[in-house]
Amino acid sequence: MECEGLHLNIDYVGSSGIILSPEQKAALQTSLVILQNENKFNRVYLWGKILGVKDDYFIAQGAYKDEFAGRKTFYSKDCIHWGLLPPATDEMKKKSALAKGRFTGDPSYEFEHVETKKVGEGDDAVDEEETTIIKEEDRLSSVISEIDEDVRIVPRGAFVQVPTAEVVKNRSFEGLSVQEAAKLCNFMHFREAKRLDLKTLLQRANMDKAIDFMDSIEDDVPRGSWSLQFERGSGLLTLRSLQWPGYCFYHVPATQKYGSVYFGTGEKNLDLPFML
Amino acid sequence: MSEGEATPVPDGGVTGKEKEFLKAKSYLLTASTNTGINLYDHLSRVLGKILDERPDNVVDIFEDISKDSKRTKFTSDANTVQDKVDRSTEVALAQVQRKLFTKGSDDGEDDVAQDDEVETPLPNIMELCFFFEQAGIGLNREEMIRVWLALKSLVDNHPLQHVRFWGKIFGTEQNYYVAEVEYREGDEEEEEEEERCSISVSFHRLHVLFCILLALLCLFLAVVIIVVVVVVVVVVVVVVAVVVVVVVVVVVAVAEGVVLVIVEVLVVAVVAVAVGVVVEVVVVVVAVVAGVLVAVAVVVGVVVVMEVVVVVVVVEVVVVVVAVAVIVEAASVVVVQVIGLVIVIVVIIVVVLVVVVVADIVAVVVVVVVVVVVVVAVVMMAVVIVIVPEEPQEDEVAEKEGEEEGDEEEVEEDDTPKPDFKPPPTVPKEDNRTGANKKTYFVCNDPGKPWVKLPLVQPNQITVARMIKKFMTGRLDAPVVSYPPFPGNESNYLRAQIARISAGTHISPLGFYQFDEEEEEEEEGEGRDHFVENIDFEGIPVRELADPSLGNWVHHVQHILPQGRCSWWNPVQKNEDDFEDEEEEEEREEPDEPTPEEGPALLAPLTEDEEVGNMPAWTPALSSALIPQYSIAVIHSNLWPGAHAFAFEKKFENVYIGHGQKYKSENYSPPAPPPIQEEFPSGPEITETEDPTPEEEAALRAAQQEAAEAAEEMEEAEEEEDEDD
Repeated sequence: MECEGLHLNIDYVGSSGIILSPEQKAALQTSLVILQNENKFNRVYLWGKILGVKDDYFIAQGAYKDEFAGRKTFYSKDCIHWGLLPPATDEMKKKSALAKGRFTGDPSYEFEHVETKKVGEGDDAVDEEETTIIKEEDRLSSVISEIDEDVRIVPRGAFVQVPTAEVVKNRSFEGLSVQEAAKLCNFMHFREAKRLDLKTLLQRANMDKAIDFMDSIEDDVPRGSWSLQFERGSGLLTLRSLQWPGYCFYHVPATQKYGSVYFGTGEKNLDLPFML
Repeated sequence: MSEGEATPVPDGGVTGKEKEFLKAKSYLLTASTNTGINLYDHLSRVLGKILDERPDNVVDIFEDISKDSKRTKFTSDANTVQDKVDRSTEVALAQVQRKLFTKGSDDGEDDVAQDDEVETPLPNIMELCFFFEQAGIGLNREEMIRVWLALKSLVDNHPLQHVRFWGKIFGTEQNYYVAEVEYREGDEEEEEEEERCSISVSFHRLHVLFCILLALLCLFLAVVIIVVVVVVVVVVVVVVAVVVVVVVVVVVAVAEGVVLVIVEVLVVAVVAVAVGVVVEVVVVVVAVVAGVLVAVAVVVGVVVVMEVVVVVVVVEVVVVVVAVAVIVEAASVVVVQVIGLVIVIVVIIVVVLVVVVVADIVAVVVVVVVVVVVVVAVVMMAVVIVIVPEEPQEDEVAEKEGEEEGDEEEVEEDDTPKPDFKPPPTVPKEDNRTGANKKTYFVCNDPGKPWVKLPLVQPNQITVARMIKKFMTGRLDAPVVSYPPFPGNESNYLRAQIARISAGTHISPLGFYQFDEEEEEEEEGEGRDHFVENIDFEGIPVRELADPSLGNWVHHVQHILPQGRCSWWNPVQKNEDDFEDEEEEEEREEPDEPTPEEGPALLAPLTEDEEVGNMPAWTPALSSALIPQYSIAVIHSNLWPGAHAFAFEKKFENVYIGHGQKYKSENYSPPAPPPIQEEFPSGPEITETEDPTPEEEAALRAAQQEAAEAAEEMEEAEEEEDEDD
């Protein structure tokens, strides 16, 4: 969710139980402007909040001209002081997948994961314990990148890929119509395309290369991992991810207003197949 | 050089540059075969627009302006189906919600005055919303206003004592807003009764009374009519008889001469009048009695019999009268008399019969009407009596099923063997206003849409809900497909989750509620389930409430036991009727006596809550770190993510906003299916024996034959011996 007009936009996700206290709103309005200025970002987004047991993390992201590349992620516990998160590497992601339980709220906290391995063969096999230590800050970074990877979405046509391969906001995007907004195929994963190659040639022939450079969420597995609802009749579209409960996307049909935010515990819902 | 000289173009004198220019222009002017416009016009329009508007950095947005102008060109004024934006759902919802905002316009000011006086159970939701907002919890303010208005309509339409906004549960298709209510004492049953009656025949007690009155009135009218008819019949019969007799007598007298006339007239008149009066009296009495009898019920026959009797009596009287007249007149007038007599009898009989038949028809019709009315009234009363005490049908159905199963077992004794497995007894649900059913819950999908009352929760629904993990859909009648199978549909599942969440997360500051001291002594033994508000509660400082020890918060909703009830129910129910087997039973049951399940007592502090996978069950916090002296205490549940509570001075509130799922640190795995049944233990009685070999068969046959022969010989020997004797 863009920090510009945050106090207005946050109301669109209020019906999903996502609200900011007046104090937080005021603090964010101040600190995000400074953050943008200091880092010379084109745009700053309030990414969301990750609930910890003792304390919560507020997450903000800054983007340069290319919305895809070079995004930077910051976290804050008081909405004022922002700390840069290290970009998530594959190894960090692999390690943090081992961490169980909720975030604590202390970035220096270390999760321990003990794995027993069998060393040797036959009768000589000895159980050896291998301890992996995962720093909460690393886990935070990898969870954020995972959420971005899995569920960050935008309406189709909101971004275009220009001939220089940069991804920029589409100035002439006028919003989806109500009928379009009711279909999952009009929402795209805001990430490098992974599944475009799987489409048939015939399907790809009908695509607009400037717009359809991302995967649509229609093919997400399991089917039904998105809960699409219209609020106020058809005046506001809300898409909630059931895979990452707490991720909420809104779009006002036929306007340029859209955005998404994650307010959750930072745990993936692995039980989803049982729950549908 | 003047312009006039340059303008005329010499024939064939077109320079090369101009030629190029014309070519290019004509190319630009070529209309597109698809859209019909040409680039020349388009460019001039775009450039004109740019010069008119003069936007900054025009080169960057040139494409957009071009696109824009193309688009405006092609928007057709005609409303085609495709262009029309379908806003119908938005409009429909707005119209539904508009009802919330309209106030009863009939007597507006009086309403305001009344509302101020009467204490309303409606809570001040905006105040609570304000406090929750301080902590970053809750919903939009506009949404809360709508919820508030929806709660108001709920209060207006139901006799409620206490109302609370419980929370919001997200579904995959729609969401649920949940209201927690308590009915005023006794009003709930009444309302349920009304609901049920309105569903079946819409009977009301007043209607029934009216029907009964109507029936009685009809009965009364019928009795009066019958009595009148009978009296009229009798009077007519008597009068006719007398008149006929007099006429006959007069005729006879004229025929006989004047001498006898005076004597005869005197005699006949006296006799007839006397007899007629007596008969009349008797008949009236009889008729009244008959009328009463008829009123009692249905007996048409009685009337007929009565009338026949009357007729016979009258005829006899007439005959007697005539006989007397005949005796008096003696033989001199025999011929004339006989003729007169015959005429008299015939006339009397005809008249009487006609009158009687007419009267009978009238009476029968009246009686039939009365009978129909009475029957209808009785049926209506019966219907009311049968319908009103009807209990919730589920239980009955369940009981009946149980009975039927039992019956079947008895009947089909010889049939295929049935498993002797008996399902464990179903735990009975808790009554309204107790335990898990202490509060009643209403839900709606959108504020303004009708509130739907959720059914009472059954213990087995809670136990199964604990074993499954499902998202709600948002449709109350949706099936819950799960393993183990959930008994009921989504409304039951929703109700079970609400009960679990309430039991787990409804908390209040220590001392806000206290046990009723009077009741304390009585219920010392069992778990106490009743508490009252502490009037002397002074409020707990916010800092102490936000202390991580959590000792200042208590649960004020009863814990639900593993059984699915708040109060433990002993599944081993002794049959108290069987006195004979009492001793045996005691011996048998003693080892089986289950230990009662126990949970934390009511108003137990949060410190006793179990940890949730290495983390505390609750996270307390202050709403503001910057201005702590004015902050409020907030507490978030880690066991039920989405459950929050705040406390500030004497105010506190709980709310739940989430998917209605409990937190588990481990991944969910459905319970394993029950183990496979054991095979029947194999033994000699069910082992198949080997077939005998032909030799064995032959040997057996030979042995049998030998034995038979031996027996025959013995018999023959015996017979011989007998003969010898």
